[in-house]
Amino acid sequence: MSVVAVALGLLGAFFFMAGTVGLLRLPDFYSRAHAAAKCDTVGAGSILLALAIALGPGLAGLKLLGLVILILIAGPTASHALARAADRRGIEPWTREEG
Amino acid sequence: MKGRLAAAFATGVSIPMIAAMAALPRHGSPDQPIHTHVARHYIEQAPESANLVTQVLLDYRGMDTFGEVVVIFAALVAVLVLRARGERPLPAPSPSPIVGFIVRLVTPFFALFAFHVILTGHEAPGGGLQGAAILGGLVLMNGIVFGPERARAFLPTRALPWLQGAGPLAFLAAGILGGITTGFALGYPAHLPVLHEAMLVGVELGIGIGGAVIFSRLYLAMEA
Repeated sequence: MSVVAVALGLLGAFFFMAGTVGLLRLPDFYSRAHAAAKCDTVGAGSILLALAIALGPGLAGLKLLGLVILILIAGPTASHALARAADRRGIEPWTREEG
Repeated sequence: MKGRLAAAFATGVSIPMIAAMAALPRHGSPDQPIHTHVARHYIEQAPESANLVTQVLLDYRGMDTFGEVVVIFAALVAVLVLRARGERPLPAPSPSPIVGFIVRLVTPFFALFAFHVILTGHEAPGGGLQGAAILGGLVLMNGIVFGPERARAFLPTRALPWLQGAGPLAFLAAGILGGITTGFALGYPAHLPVLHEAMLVGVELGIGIGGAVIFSRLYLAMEA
């Protein structure tokens, strides 16, 4: 039980780390939004899941599962809305210069 | 002349205040009344099974809280009046089907959570203004995604002036009810637990719904 929880927690931490590095290092808005979205969904999602498993069955764990569902719904929607707004504003995606 | 009068008034008011500050016990000192007997008095005198913070806020210093609620709501309405002057054309909303679907999906849960926060606020973390912020956020979210008309549809037009004052009005009603049942304005009838509970919930509900209406109208005044 606790092995799964620790593994999920480490996975979440890794995704937060990767997302933060991506947010700082990637070249344009779209790729940064893509990196940041990973923190919300996989990162926070698996950490909350890890906490729910660590707590075991009960009301608190159930509330955490509700939070996971909320994050899985709200995070991607917000990223989508942001990227869409950027596209409508005419922000061009970054491409590697030729030659 | 006016400036001198103001300066004289400010000096006249501030001198006794500074003198009173100097007479206060040192900050954090264990001799403060709150540490010697006031806190214990509150704990001993409060009814069983009551939330002490709520007891203090709505009962011991109910008059003070009532004044606070009136001031906060008056300030919100004043901002609303100022905001409502400048009218700008509305940006046409262009809802993404995904965002639209998700907002429609979460709206009822959002509303349920807001009322949960409002209704349990007198015994758990939460309360009227916190719930009002969630409920107002719900209207705001719908307004941003589907346009201000959708947000306006959440607000009942006829009852609007009353709902904006719902917080202070509910508090006033509770105060009068308390006056009738206990003989003290804003007294809470400990011998009538159901009425007591109803009064606390009524006050929170008034603050919650009134606050949500004002928050929503602030947003609409900015959009319009």
